[in-house]
Amino acid sequence: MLNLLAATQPVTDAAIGEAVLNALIVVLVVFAALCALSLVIWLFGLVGKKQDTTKKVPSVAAPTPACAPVAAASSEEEEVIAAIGAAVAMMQPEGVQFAVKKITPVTKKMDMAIRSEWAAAAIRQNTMPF
Amino acid sequence: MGALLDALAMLWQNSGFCRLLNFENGGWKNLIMIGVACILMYLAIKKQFEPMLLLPIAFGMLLCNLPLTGIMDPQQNSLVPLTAEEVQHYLAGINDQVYPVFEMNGQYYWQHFEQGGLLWYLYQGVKFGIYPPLIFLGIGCMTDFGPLISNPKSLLLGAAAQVGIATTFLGAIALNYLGVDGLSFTFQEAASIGIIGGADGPTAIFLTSKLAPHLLGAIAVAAYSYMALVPIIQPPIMRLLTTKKERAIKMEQLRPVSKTQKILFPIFVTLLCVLLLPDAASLIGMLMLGNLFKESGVVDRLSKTAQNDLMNIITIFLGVTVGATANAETFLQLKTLLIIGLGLIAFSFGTAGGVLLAKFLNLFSKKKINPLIGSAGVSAVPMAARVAQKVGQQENPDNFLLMHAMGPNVAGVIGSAVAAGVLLTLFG
Repeated sequence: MLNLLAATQPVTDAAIGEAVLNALIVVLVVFAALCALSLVIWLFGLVGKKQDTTKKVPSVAAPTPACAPVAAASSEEEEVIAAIGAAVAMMQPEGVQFAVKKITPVTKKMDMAIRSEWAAAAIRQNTMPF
Repeated sequence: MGALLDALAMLWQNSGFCRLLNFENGGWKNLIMIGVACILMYLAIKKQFEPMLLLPIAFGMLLCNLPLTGIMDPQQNSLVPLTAEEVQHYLAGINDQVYPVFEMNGQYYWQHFEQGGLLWYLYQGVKFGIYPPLIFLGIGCMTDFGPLISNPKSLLLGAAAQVGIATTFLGAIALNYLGVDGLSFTFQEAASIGIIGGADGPTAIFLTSKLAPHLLGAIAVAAYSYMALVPIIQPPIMRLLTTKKERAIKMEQLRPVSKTQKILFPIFVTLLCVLLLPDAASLIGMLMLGNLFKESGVVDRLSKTAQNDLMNIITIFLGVTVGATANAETFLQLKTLLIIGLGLIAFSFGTAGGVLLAKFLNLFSKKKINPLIGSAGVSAVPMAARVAQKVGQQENPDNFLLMHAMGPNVAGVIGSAVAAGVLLTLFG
């Protein structure tokens, strides 16, 4: 049906109106198709949220602290502390003496909009475009 | 001695050098095209402008402009009349002819078959629209639609960036009113030029091969050149249309997307888009099939083959053969320069369309969108998204727009395929 709008000959003297109409059709159909898709995806999201809320179970017990005090660190935790210490050392100017006295886990629930410095540094590293 | 000189003269006469230096017969055109091919090869190798495609395109251009190679000559079938003696032999059943003999109006003919050039055979994959959808299969395997599913508004930005296609189509038609000889475009040609604004090479090649195959070389070169120049073309337009404050807008982290959503997405897109636009079935269908391979996680081998081996093979065939369509006769025209100029307009309008729609959405949205991500709606994955990230970080080094920009970026791929489907329905 839409072929009726098309011309096969050079359109030197053809009405620009036809061309405008065709251009409008292109834009409108693309928008309509992608709007419909957008709606479908939005519905996906709703279904996903609903599933999440039905699956939620009450927490059984309060979690134990992920990281024990430095003094009582196990060998595995010592490795973590050493890695953190090395990372801090990398950030210090050369020759500056320092000591890591305390490492505490982040207890505050992370806001989705705010990244920690570590997360920000990692993303900066991975998304550096040029 | 004379015989030797004659032989040398004959060798010279039959060499490509002789033809190339015969300026009266248009040898200079081939020399210019060889120069253009060398410049494109330089840009691909030294400047790394989309080398994966620009290099084979440039080499294909070089090959087809070397005289006497016949590498892009079509296969030919012709009917040659039989001589009286041959007819007698044929009627007596002594058939000397290897080829089939036909009788038409009392005259006997034998079918003469002349083999085509290598690139002509490979070109059939472009001509019949086989390669671009296969490239899309590979792209689908490599694309993560997660950012798009996470933020469905991205689809609108991807749609807005297709405005460049429509405006350039109109621009090409408007040129007809200048009344310059040889500078008029048919609707089919204008649509093929407009699709450059989709910034999607395979889509541009697919549509042009169907609507205006004689412009294929120029349009492919323009499309891939501008895709490579996205980091240069887009930032000034993005800065012009946004304020410093808008560019510094920080967007919330994207919500996580479940595996089920990712699996359902390609199926729904295929159903919706193909039912709406059956002509887009080969592009959208292959793109989504590739994505389903990836997201389903059960056909890892197929996914790896499609995104590596198959895609690389098709890229070679597509690049070389598209480049080989750019022979001196069709490429060295004023139209080619116009196509390159119109392509730039298409890119610019596409970029502006995405940015402006993002600004418009901000008028109604509680969660602000950084308008820079709208520019990524012009496909060119992932370069356009990287440009949005780079320009955003210039205003605020802690702003990470890359994943947000990937949404409109992949939406642009779907949008340009849908636009190609509409144009094919209108003018095919």
